[in-house]
Amino acid sequence: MRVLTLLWLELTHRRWAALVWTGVTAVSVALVIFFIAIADLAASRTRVIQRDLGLNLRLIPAGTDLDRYWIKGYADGAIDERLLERLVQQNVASRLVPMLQRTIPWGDSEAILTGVGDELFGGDGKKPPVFGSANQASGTIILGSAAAARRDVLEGQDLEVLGRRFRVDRVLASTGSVDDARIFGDLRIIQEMLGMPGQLNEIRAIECHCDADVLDPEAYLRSILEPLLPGTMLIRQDRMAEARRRQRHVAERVAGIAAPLMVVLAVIALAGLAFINAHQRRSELGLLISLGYSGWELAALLWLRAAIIGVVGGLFGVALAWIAVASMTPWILGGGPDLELDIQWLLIGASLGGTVSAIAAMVPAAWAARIDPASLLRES
Amino acid sequence: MSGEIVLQCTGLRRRFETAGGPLDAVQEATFAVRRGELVEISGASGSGKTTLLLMAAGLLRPTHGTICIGGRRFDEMSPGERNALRRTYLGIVLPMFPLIPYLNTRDNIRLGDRSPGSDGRAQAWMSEFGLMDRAKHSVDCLSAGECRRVLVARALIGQPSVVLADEPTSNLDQRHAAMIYGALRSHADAGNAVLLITHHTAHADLADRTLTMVNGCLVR
Repeated sequence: MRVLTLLWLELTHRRWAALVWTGVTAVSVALVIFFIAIADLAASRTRVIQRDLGLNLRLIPAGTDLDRYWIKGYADGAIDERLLERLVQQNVASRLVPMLQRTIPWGDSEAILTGVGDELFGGDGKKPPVFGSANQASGTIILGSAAAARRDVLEGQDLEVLGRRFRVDRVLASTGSVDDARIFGDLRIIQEMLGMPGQLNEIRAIECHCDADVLDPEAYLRSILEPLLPGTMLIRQDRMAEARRRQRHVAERVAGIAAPLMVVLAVIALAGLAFINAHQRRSELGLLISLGYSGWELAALLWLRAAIIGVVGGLFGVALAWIAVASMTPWILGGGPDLELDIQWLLIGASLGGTVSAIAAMVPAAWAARIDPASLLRES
Repeated sequence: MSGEIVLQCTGLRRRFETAGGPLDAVQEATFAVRRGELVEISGASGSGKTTLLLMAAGLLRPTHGTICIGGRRFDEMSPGERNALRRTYLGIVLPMFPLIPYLNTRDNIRLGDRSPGSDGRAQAWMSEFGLMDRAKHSVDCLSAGECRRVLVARALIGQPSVVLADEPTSNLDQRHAAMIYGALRSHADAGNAVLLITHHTAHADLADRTLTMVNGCLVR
């Protein structure tokens, strides 16, 4: 009788054991595919989110001492306002905000006089201004909470700034940032008040587009923009996009650990089942040796059994993973399921199940191949 | 006796190390079985008969001595060579390796014959041993006597040159025991050798020779 016939008859005889093995393989393969699929979807969705979020960059005068910049909240130097037009033509950002800022005496302290120009919008239409009513009507200013408190003024009151009278249009809520100490005004008026017509000290490029799927979008944009905008340097306004990129990489790393961990756990669980199966069949294995079956045939009996069940389990695992992804993706990631149950996934599942199962059965199969009939006889 | 020697055991000894000290189960056993011979080894339980047969079958390594089967040193072969020789040359009836529960009666018998046409030969042996109506039954449904007949049929189906049978007639009534002895005798008469272990002597007249084991020693 051939080994394959024996194998088939044993499988049908111990069908519950085979079903348990199939189930363990299926769940393991399903978990591995689920983790891979979810990680892939998460990375893909994060990429989309990141693309939509864009990068918030600041163009400031070249040579700015960044230590001082972050302490003071603005750059000391100035850049030509005409560079703004070049930047608009590049259409690299959803919106551009030209600004000029300087420290001025404010009561018994200081405040940052901040001229904000009209926001220039990219191709996807007008959006609400970043600074609210940033292009304030002439004769009005907006005060940060600390600046208003320092002069003890309220909205609607008049106030003198560098010898010029303004009406306080609004007092901003505290942000816990340097913006609390700002006095926002129209860029043209502030340029005139500071004696810096046609000059800026910062252009905020908000939601920069980075169509290319590059690892470091900031460096990529810098390589494009800095040659076009001489006398400027580009810095990142915040680290949100970077954080999201890192988060994506962390998610990928977690999946990269979780999936192999699942494989290892599956191998351990299946190896246990393989040992139980081999142990239950000691008498049978001894009989087959006495009938002249070779060690390799005995090993094949156990190993092929595991591989065949593994392949079947792997196929069930793909189906399970598909159901899990379909039902859990909207809950975990939002949106619809993106995993399609195609031949590629079925092949991956079958290969994975067969391989995991075969690896798990290797040691018991090797034991069977080298089984000493004398030891079985002693047990008998 | 003029047939070719197909099984030759010389100076076989087997010692087991036990908690109570060494136990010599077989001591200096020397015998030969020729083609056409049915040799019976009888003796009381625990006299070492089964140990001797297991060594002859290559399933237990002797502590000392040599075993030649078909002119080849069985005890010096690799496990793979021993398996190959067992497959082609030996038929073994061992109660401690019983039937495979997931095979029916016919398939259990076919285990002993891996050549084409084994199905027909299995039918013939089932007919010979009165097992035809059990052909497709699970062996779990067989009586002890029927199981013993299946074991013997499995050993004989491949027409091996040497049959080693350990108590092939235990659990059998007189009629079926005679049937088994008759089959083994016929197998020997066909030019093969049969070594039979038993503690029954009811059919000793069918054996060409009877050797007796006493406390691990062969007494002629």
